[in-house]
Amino acid sequence: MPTTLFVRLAVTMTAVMILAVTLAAYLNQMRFQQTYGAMVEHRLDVILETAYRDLHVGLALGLRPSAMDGLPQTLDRALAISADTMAIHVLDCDGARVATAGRATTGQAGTAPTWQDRLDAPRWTMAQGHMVAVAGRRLTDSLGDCAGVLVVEMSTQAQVAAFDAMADRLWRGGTLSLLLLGPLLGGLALVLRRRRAMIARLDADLAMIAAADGSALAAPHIDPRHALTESEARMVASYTAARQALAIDAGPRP
Amino acid sequence: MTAWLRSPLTHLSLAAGLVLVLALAWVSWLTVESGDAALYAELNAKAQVQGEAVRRKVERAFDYGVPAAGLSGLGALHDGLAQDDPHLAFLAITTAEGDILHAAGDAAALGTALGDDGAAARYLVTRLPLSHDGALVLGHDREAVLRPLTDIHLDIATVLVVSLALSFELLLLVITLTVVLPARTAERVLAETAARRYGLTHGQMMRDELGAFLARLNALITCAAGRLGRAPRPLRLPRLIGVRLLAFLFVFAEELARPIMPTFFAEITGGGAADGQVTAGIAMAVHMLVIAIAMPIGSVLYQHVGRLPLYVGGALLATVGLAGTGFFADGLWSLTAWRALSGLGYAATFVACQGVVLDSTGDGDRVQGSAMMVGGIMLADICGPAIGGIIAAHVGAHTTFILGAAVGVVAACAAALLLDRAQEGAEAPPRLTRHTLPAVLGNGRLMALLLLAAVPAKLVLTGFLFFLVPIVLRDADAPAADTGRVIMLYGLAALVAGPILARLTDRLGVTRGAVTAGGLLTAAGLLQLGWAPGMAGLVTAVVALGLAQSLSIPAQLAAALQVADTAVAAHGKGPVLAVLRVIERLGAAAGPLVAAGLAATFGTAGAVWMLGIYAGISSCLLLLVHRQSAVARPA
Repeated sequence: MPTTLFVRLAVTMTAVMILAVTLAAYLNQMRFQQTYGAMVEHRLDVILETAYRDLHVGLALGLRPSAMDGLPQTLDRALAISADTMAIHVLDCDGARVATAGRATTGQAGTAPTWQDRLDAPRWTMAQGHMVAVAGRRLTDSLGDCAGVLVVEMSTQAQVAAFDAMADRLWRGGTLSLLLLGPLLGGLALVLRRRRAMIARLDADLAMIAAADGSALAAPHIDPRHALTESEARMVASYTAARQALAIDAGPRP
Repeated sequence: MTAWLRSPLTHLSLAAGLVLVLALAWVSWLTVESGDAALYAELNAKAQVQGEAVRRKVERAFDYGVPAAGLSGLGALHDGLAQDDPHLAFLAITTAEGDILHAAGDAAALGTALGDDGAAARYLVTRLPLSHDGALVLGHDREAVLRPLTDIHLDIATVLVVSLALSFELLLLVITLTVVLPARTAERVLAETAARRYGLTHGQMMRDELGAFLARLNALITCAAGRLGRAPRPLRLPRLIGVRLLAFLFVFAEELARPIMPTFFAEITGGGAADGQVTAGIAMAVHMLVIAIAMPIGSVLYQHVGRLPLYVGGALLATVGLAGTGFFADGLWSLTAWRALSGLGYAATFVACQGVVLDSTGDGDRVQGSAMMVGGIMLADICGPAIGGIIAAHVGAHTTFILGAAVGVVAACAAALLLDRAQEGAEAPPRLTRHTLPAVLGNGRLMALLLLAAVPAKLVLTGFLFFLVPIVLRDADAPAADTGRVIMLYGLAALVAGPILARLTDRLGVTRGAVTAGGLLTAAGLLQLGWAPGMAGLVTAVVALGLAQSLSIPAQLAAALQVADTAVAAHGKGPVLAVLRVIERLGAAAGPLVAAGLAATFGTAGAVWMLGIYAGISSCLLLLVHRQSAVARPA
């Protein structure tokens, strides 16, 4: 199906613009998520290590977490240093809960938390569902043996909201930016309309040469400024030189 | 030149460029505005958490009746926090009037931060009120803490540049194929017609308004030719612009994973830190070695198989190799095998593109044709690592290789649309034969140039830029996006400076001097890293390498043909070029191995120094050789 050059170039420009804006928006968003996620994880680590340092005092004295008086109060204090902290757990080396401060989001109603299989790792961080981040570390006694596991659950609702807000802004802004195509395509239409008229005149002249003795007809007046490129302008000049030959050699025989 | 500037298409292209810049700048600004607000809030939240942890302990002491002046142990609190946050400069407890009661950490930083002069801005100060009417003060090094924001701003700028460059390439492709090429072809046909030869018709028919005109023109030409007893042939001008995109695609597929290759390969092959580096170097070296060996074979295959099957086959091989690296590599042997497959694919696609350039150009426009292909490669060298670094940090190394494989598939599909059938009488890619090889290798000055310039240049490129730079940045805990950005600077420096330096070299006629100068600049760039370690020194070294190689590598080609004038006269340029390329590639293959060995023995900093010394000594020796040959052959 024949398509005009305007359609081709308009589709190309639109596609390129959409591709460029989409690529930029997507990569920027990805980069932001990565940086923000790393910063949130660092904050979670600070909370975890603060709680750990408080527990370490007792561990260094040879106490097991289950034997620490005031463990719930210690966990409550650690919980209070950040409003986003949802729960802090201390488990024994087998994963059984020793103490919990706050409102646990996982392991309720007899189900094992999804971070249960991480307990053997010395230190770990993971996402728990859509809006909770969990970090944990092993507690060791003065001999380096396992004394328990410390787990902190933190809400990432603010982080998710920030991601969603940015995504929303970027996609809206990117879509709005496509409006800039309007004037560009308008200019394209104007330029190509003049070009189309120029080519139509060339084609009409060629048709006359084919149908009648065009050698006697004056060359069509073509404004070279209507040519889209330098090579098209040269093409028009070449046509003017070639039409006489065509009229003689390809025109209708007398 | 001015006619080109006045053409409506140029104006439209500039307008399209402006629209793209505005749109991308708008998206970038939105990211900065939204992102900065969220990131500042998070930085503040972290400082608040740290402060709150200390504040609650201090308040407990107050609850037990300890007066503010009698508090102790602030140093231990600071040390505990600083273990997790090295950017924490100081902790202090002040009175309501602001006098310091207790302090821990960097005392000088504390004095500066609480001072009245502009230097206080170096620190981010967080104050939390205490019940004794004083305050707890935390100070963080502003530049270090805001580093993630600076990095993300740089990456946003990088994404803008890369998106703009890719958009420009796509627009250039479509405009060239739909507007410029048909008009140029018509110009040639009409010139033939004006001379009443009627040997050509227009072979690139368009299905638009111009196509109708060209169809009528073809009919008349055929009629005229028939009357004169001639048979015109359809003229299709070669679509070199397609080679630019195809060269871009196959290099881009490989370059996406460039920032993470050494570390990913080291993880796969296992072993300790030093062993991992050596095995990663082996895997990278095998890839380069296979390319070096496969290229001459590919040149032979090109004549028998043709450009399209060679490119498509190569792209698919590279796809399988990249996918295998991402999915299935689980040890040194399997990794090496998949990388070898990628290397085969890379070589095949490179030879196919090179063959198209040779087929489609003559002595008068070959440099332009090569520049078209090199432009695509350079653009991929810029865009690939930049985008790959960002993607890899988000989706992981395995998926990044899979994405590279997907690009390989796109390259294969694009080739079907963009590669024409070979033209008759086209020039074959350069080949080595048993007769030409001794003539070329026996030329002492040529071998000196190759061994003292071509080999060091490629060895330093792969050993320093591809192998050591990612490892140095990984050891400095820099994210993959940083690595991609730094590697990108090499391509950017070469792309910007290359044409200017090439023109200068041609105008001054100093090809051999340019080769030596490039080598010395490479050495200087690497050696300065010893005096200025850190990101600034590394960036300087990479940019210097880009400038140096954009100066010396094109000059190497011209210098090689000059010094091997006898061989060129006897056997043509082909064998000399073929030897240059093979030996270059062998240098490239050796780079990661040499760098890995040096790093394992002397550390990464020592390895950079060694490479710098090697580049410097090679260039000095080359200078001596040039001087001697100038004395032996007076002008």
